[in-house]
Amino acid sequence: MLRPCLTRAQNANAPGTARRTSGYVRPKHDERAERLLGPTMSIDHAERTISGIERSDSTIKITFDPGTDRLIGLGFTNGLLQVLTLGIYSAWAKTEVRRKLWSFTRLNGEPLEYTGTGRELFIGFLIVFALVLMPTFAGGAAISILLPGRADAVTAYQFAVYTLFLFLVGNAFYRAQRYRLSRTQWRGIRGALVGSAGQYGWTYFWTLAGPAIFITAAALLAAWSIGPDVGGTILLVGFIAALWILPWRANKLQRMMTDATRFGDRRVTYTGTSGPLYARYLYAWAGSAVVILAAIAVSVQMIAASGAFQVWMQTKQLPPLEDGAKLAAVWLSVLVLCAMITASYRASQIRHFARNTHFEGASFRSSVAGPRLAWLILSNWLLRIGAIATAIAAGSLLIYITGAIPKPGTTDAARIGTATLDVLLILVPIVVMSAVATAFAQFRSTRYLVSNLSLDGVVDIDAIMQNQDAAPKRGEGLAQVFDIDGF
Amino acid sequence: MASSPAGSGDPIEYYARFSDGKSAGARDATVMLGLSGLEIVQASPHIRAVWAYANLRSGEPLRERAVDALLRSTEQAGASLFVPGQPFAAALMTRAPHLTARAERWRHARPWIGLAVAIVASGAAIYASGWSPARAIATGLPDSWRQRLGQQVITSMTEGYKKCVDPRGLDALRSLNDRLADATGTGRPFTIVVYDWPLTNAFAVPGDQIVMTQGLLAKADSADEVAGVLAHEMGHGIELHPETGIIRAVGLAAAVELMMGGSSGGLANIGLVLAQLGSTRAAEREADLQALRVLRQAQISPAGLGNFFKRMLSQEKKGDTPGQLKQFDILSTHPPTEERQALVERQEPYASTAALSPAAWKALKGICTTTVDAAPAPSPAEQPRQAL
Ligand SMILES: [Zn+2]
Repeated sequence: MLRPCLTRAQNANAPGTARRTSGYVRPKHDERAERLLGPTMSIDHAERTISGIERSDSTIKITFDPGTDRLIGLGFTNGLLQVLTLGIYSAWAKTEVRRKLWSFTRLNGEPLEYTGTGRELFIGFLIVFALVLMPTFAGGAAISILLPGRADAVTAYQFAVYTLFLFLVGNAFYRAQRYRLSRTQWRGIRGALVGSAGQYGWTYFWTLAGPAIFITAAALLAAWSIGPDVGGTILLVGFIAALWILPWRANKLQRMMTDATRFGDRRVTYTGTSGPLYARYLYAWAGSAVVILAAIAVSVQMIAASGAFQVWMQTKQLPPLEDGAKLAAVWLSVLVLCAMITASYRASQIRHFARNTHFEGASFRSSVAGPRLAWLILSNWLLRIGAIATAIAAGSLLIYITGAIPKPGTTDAARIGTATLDVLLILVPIVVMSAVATAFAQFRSTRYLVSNLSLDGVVDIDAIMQNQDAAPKRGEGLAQVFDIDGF
Repeated sequence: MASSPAGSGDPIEYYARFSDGKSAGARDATVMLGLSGLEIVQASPHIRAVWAYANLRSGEPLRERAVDALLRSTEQAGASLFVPGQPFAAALMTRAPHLTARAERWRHARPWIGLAVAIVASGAAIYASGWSPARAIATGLPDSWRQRLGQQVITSMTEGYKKCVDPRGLDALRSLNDRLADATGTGRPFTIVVYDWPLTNAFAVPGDQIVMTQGLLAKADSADEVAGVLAHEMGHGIELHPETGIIRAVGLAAAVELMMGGSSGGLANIGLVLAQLGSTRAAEREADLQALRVLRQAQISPAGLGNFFKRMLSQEKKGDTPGQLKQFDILSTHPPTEERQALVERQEPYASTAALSPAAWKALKGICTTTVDAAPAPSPAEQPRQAL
């Protein structure tokens, strides 16, 4: 179904023109509108394009249009309110950032709307806090108080908690996505995620836990029947080999999520198979393995050379700071290198996911590229590190200027006062600056992903009707707690 | 309102797209800024509607630099109107000021500013009144919990060191302990254990328990000095400082986690260190006051308390303490203040006897001639400790 055609007369006062009651005049100079709509426009042209976009509404063009806003100011306000409200504001802060990012994202020139509220997120967080976090914490506290000195009991408890959390992580992802889609609308039409969070969570869990249990069991069996060397080798080789499940797993999870996605009453479908992902995965896997093995070798060498381990065994003295710093530097470089090496795989995975996602008659296409993605990840890290370093410097400067250093000889009350002031003078800049850096980093990531995304093909937009399912009532709680909700 | 009276509103017609919210399709429309509301005319089918200004809601607040406007009205649920171009948004700002960024910001910020003011004010009030929430919780802890918490701290702190159990030394320690504990007047028994540990320190841990090191006994010149240190530690115990310290550390870590949105990790520790630094100092004064009271009641001279610290300080200046041990040393956690010295000297003199007989003092010094392995119980987490 095509949108009904305009009559000639109505077209005359369509884009770029405006009419006074007494006749036709151009509106006051509007450079932007002119750029988008064209200074003069034939009726035929006006028929087809609005904001430089196909006006016939049979295709969807995705753009990212932030104007001059980079979310710096919003990040600053968010950080400040977070400090002043002892963190309660963070749910609202997150909502404000999303509202902006959604409104920058445009389909055929019209913005997406984020309709979620801070209150929903906050209540979701409180529920998870009461039902998951508090019991977990209380259980841990109870074990360490009731069974003092039973390290094995503590270890068993920690293992159980990590297993439970791993089980909940997939669940949390799904719920977060369901919440966000239900709060996303375009032209008043909502998104939705149907299907079961439990099923997704279970798949997320067993595709990791299954191989781990199998390999551990095989290694134990080998160690018991043949010898510990064989068992150890099976364990190491097994786990490295098991990493090959990851592309298959990612594809499977993506299929579950995408096939359950709706826009209005229409389905989104996924047709991807994991096969094409493996060629690039080989490089990422082999490259990371080489880097990590090299880092292990270097670390062992360093620890052996410094003798820190022997000292620790005998005297429980921690190694000097510079040895620790060297070791940390090695593993930090591993982290950076691996992120760079795997970036090209990650980019190809994003392209694969997009290519195989279809909506009505159209298919998505992403032009995300490995080097650009690597740079985005790296520069976002540097941004955060830089922001925190700046904050610490600013805090120290503030302490120096205000002279708020506890001095001997002063009264106790005065000392507590200055120590409290020190905490505030350092903490406040850190919280504020990280909020700024986080908002800006999210802006950059979203800009890159959205502006490299397109939807190719014809979509009968008029035929998409509102989705009648009830939307979830509360925010994404679990995902917030695990800090995996991304935006 | 079918038509606007001539000359009443802004007669400019703007191009717009109207969505009814039932389907994703959008229809071309024109919109005019009428006297009391937006006059919307859909092209095909030809439909007119008026959305009163007061009932308008906007997706993003209107700004001077806004390049378009996305509007809804409470009169027509689900429907939305998208008007591209800066002029319309600017013109609408004067007619619907409640949609402007400034109004929106203020409406949004008001409750938060209120909450922030309330939090800052109550924080200041708590600080001014001297009431400590951590202390209040510590007071409410059952004794059995405090005991177990203390055990936990001791095992993790003394991991790898042996417990000193020479029978004659234990007897001397018990008699000193009884004499001091009776003098506290609290009726609470104290548990004192000595570990064969070269560093010079003593710690009060939860549950009225005190850990003392062999290094401290070696450095002490007299039983009076040891009695002074123990009385000071009992003072910490009476004031529930170890319990309060742990609760405060946990609470502060939780608060920082919350403030950082649950992703701080290492940052919590900066706060912890600084906060503990601040609070121990007030605690020291309280412990000293309790110690002086206990010593007076036990008829032991208060001079030992002052002398011990004075001597430790002069030894450190001479550089007797090995470098690695310094960071765990009694003085690092506990700078000797003129305040303590003045406090001791201000004491009105009273009749006193030696804390222990010379023989018992000799036995106490030799308590580590017999040692046993402490209960094996390493805990990976470092426990917050209340140092001397
Ligand atoms: Zn003390």
